[in-house]
Amino acid sequence: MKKDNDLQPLIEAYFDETISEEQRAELERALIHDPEAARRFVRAARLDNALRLHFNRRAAEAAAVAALKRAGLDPTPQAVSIPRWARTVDHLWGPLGAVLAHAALILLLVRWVVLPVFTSSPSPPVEVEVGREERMRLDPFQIHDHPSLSRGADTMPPPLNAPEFAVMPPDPHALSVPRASPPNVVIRDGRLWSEPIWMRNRTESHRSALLARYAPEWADRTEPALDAALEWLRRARHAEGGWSEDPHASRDPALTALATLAFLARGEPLTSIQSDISALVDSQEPGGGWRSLENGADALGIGACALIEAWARVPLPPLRRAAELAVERLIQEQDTAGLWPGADPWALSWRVLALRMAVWANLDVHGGRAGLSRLAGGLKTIEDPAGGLYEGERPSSKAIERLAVVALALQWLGEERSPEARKTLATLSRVRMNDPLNPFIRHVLAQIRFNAGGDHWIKERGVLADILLAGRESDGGWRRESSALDGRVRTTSLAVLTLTVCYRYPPAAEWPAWPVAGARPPAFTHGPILAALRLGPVP
Amino acid sequence: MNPSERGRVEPMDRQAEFLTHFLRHQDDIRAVIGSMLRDPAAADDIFQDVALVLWKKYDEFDTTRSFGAWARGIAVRQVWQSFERRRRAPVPLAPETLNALLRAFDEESESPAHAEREEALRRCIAKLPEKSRRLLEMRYEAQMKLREMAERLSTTLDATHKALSRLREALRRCIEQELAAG
Repeated sequence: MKKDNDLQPLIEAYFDETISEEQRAELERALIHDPEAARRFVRAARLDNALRLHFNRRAAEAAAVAALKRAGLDPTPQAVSIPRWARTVDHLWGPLGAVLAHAALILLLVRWVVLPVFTSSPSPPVEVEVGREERMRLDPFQIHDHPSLSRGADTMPPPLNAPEFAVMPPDPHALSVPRASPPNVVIRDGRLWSEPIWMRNRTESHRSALLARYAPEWADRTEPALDAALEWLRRARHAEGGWSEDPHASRDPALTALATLAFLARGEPLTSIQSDISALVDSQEPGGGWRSLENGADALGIGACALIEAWARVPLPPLRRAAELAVERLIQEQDTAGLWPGADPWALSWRVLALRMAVWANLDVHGGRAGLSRLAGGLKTIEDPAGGLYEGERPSSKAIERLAVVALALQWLGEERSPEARKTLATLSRVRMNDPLNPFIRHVLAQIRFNAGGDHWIKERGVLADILLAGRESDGGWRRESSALDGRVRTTSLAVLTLTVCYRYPPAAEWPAWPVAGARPPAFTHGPILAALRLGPVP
Repeated sequence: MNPSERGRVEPMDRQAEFLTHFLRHQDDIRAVIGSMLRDPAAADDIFQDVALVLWKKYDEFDTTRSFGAWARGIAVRQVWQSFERRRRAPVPLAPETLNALLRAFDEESESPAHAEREEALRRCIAKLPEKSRRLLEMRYEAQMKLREMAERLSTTLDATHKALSRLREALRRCIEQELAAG
């Protein structure tokens, strides 16, 4: 039987394709007769595969960043615009700030650099060189074997702060664009896909990064509240899945879809809401819609949204078909102006979003793009935004609701620079987050402010968090609003959707353009779907 | 498509079950294919074929058996068939060797979870000096042959191979240490 020390070079040579015929025969004999040799080979094969996937994904990300840069988009986190007063304060504070900053830097240097030099022995140098007379030192790994380095928090390797897109400087001679091979894939329609980028933004690490970018003061306050809110929603759920405000009433499809979207917004695994999605799919009528409950909210738009998001997370054919049924129903119900006669702001909002996401996710629905085109035109005719209704000092609550939904829909459709949208957004700028607003309007306004960015968002995000967090009960859920419609499941779900605005979707301006005929769905990227699913061990 | 023609949706349990199995074992399926096919593009093609075959044959899968073993067996057959279809040179490993490897894959179950291993690998690679990372990039990202790498580095084929071997060994140890440290 071959010794380990003799066998490993053969395995390495095999994977490096430098193995000779004699060595190959020797290796095969060892693999057949020595189970330990075969296990070593398996470990080598797994590492070889992991390395390929790692570098393939990194290169794919680098290529995506390069493509975004070529398209004039900066994919790196950008500082939000700073208001003038803040710049002025910053300017005045400058000299004092510089002195304090230098003092802090010196303290840090003394604490973390100078003192350790005198209090501990220096680490061996880290160097790996390849020369004609091959020499190599692998100290970063060997030092872990040093007896003085017992395992424990103090001796753990330093934390890694490498940004996600940190790549080596490109060398056009050495590197090439990798072949596309997603590391984690799923099957849809006989093809392999991985999760869309807007779902990926909801994983924990991305959430932190996006909160740091868009609302840095939120993370410590809102994220624990969101955990508690989802826990409350779990407790309020029917045993067989789905929600209703009255636990003894039958499940409400619109409410079930709303709460499901709240879980999806937080990046929860589909397995944790499978019964709720099943409830939604089971209660879908053959025509694609849902039976409206008495005094209940319209379920078609929000139901379609929940199914599309669920399908985008895990592209199972039944989910896709259910989502397509709902979207087809939406399109069928559009009038010639692209609108839905009789739809209230709630219904309009979710229906626009559903249609927009269906096209974004490339669902197989007939007339999706045409429906969106009609809708973009129809929205601009609602109540004639250029006319008198919005010219008053301050619109009424009902007008704000309608106005906000139209403005948000225009943002989603890439029409935020149209005269109608500008006028509408200007009018809405007079509305403040601390005005008496119902949870739905506040949710819509939060999205509008986030999409628009700039001063309005910076000024109001703190107020938004204050107001929303003030609505919490001690059990983690949100309290009922005065309106009969706004029960606790609804207010809690809407609060979750509002407080996840920074990562639920990218700002509307970054959504891919939709009218381009024949465009490939741009939303899919190499995402860690396994991590997103958080699948447990298979029994 | 007419919604009424599409009919009602079928139960999703079966698909979800398949997806769960597939996602859990896809790395080993890739590893099996990659150990037989050293051309990454060809290995990717076969992997996609294998995924489709697994999905089509999933109804025949005996749930009392190991999905991983079943999938890896199909992967090996797919590689063999691809060689026969394309009339390429024989598969680099004999059938007896492949059987031994499949048994080893079954016995050598990978733990902990894939995500943790991936994260450990990422941390270990980040700790490498730049020159070592460049070496790995040339091999695994640019998919260069060792001879090409040796020419670019102005060194010998043997030196390049030894450097890569030691790097991989170091990574293996580092990953185990990272995982053990939790």
